[in-house]
Amino acid sequence: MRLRGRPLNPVLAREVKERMRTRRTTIVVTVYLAVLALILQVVYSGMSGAQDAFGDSLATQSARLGRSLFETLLFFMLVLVCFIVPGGTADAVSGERERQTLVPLQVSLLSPRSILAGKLLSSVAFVFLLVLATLPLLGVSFVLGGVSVGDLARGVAAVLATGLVLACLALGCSSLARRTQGAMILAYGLTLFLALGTAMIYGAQHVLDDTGRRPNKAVLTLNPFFATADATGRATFDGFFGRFSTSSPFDPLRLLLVPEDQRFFGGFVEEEFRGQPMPMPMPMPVDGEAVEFFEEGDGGAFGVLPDGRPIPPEDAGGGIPFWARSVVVLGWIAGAAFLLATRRLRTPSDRAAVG
Amino acid sequence: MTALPDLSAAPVGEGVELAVQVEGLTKRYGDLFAVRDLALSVPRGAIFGLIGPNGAGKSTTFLVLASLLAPTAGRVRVAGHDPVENPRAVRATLGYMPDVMGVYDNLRVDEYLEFFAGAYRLPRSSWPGLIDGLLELVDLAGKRRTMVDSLSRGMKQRLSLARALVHDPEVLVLDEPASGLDPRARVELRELLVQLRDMGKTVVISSHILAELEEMCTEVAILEAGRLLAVGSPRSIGDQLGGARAVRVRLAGGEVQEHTVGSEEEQQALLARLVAEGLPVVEFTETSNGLEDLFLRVTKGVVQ
Repeated sequence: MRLRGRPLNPVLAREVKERMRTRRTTIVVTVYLAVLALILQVVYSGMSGAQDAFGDSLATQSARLGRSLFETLLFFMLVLVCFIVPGGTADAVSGERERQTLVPLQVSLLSPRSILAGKLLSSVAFVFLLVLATLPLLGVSFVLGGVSVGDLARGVAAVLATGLVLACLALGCSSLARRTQGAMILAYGLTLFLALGTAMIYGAQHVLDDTGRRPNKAVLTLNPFFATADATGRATFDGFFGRFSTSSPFDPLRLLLVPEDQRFFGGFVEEEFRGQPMPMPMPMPVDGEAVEFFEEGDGGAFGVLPDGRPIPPEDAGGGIPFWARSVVVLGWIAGAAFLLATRRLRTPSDRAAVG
Repeated sequence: MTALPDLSAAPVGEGVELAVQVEGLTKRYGDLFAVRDLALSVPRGAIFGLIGPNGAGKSTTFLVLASLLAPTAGRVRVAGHDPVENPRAVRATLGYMPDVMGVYDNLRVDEYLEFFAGAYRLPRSSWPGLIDGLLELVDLAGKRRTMVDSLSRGMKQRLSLARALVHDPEVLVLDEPASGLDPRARVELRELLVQLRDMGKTVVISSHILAELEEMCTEVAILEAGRLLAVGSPRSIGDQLGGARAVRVRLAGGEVQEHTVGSEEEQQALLARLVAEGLPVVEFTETSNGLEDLFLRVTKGVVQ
């Protein structure tokens, strides 16, 4: 295998070859697809039989269903990636040590970076395979509508990026731990922290802080589910303004990402309404506060906050979308984990090489 | 007990090209010295045996030579390169075979060697010929498409040796290559190493099976507790130790005589005398354990 005249990273070529020959890979892909197909079936049955509350057209209902299926699949793809990637990558270095195959690699002309890059790319390639295998299921939502190619691209990119970050963390754990069991526990622990721990910290901030201020969302930038929700999100509750809504597992996450003073009717201020004339002036209560709209001199209506400030054109964060901040933070952490693994593999070292 | 002579500084002939040079090598872990002030000179084309009980510092020395372990002190050169300052150059010229060979579960023998050919950045066009040659050399040509994990231990050792040779290194460092092998596999391995020496490779080898080292090593170094106790050819070490040699003489008709001599010269004189006396000598054999005997006399059993 060659790439632009250069041989493919030998570690990557070997890892892919080995991985594809094991029965475990077949089992993982089968279980992964079975779980997603089951979820698709449940969501489809549940939603297609439900009464339309807004009396929308068939096309709108179909699009709503398509969107829901897409987002639900995407959510559970992320969940499964969180299960599969740490387990599949945590043995990258510790497994070589245990099999006594690390030393022959280290005395070859491969640098630690090449060895780890091969391992990392192999993990990402497996996530890519899972995504490819999911495409027929995602295709169902395309048939129903409500999902664009851009949506799909963003969703796939989010899943791959999550896989990359988790694989980097697992590599770092694998280089630190002497045994694969320890590396697995560490990798799953970190994944659990990113996926659930960060949300729990945010929730705890909310509960414990009695100053009335909104909790800092910085911790949520560590959460790949929130980043994906933001990257793939759109206003989802807007029956009042004639938009279709969905029932997506990402909706509660998106709700948390939007500042409370920008929410109304439990949904979101549409992008085109931020700082722009609203179609009609009306007071909208949110959690006991009032968001008022008033007439401007030119006859238009602007959304303002209770303190008189207009609704900002972007979410809080200096105009940088939440998902972009999340990419930077998670990218930095992944890079640090990869660097740590590289340093741990560097020779000659002061301690005797094992394996 | 009389003190042993200093055998740890065998002279190296002038103009001898050295493949491996170790000066004052020390490696310590906290208070424990794994190797202490070791000095070795391995001439190019030699088969150099490193002998010592478990914990003597053999594997530590090999790890330093292979650029895997940084020494605490001292200077090491492998084919003229420093493993600490220029590990990449050392790796390009050194083939290292660790004492335990790990295998990948789902690779065939040829794929295993292809992987390492890639790891040594060899051009892909050279792989088929190279792998054919290596498998022929280690007598695994018939196992080309066999899965590595299904090979016997002896075959795995030979494959590991082929792996260490994949980039045609000048120096081979083999840590206990005969460990766990049956007698036949050991003989095959020994023949292979002699063949490699004939190909111009320098082989540095450690083994517990001293009789084998004695047969193929041009020089040996005896280590104990990280210290070098003796270095030189087995015969020169024996001569310096000045110990007695047992000689077994069998005469025609079945009579067997046991003699004791002090040196090689005395051994020659004994044979000349027996022949001069007209005795029908049909067998004249030195019966000491050779290297094993030397090893026991030089080491003190400090570490086991």
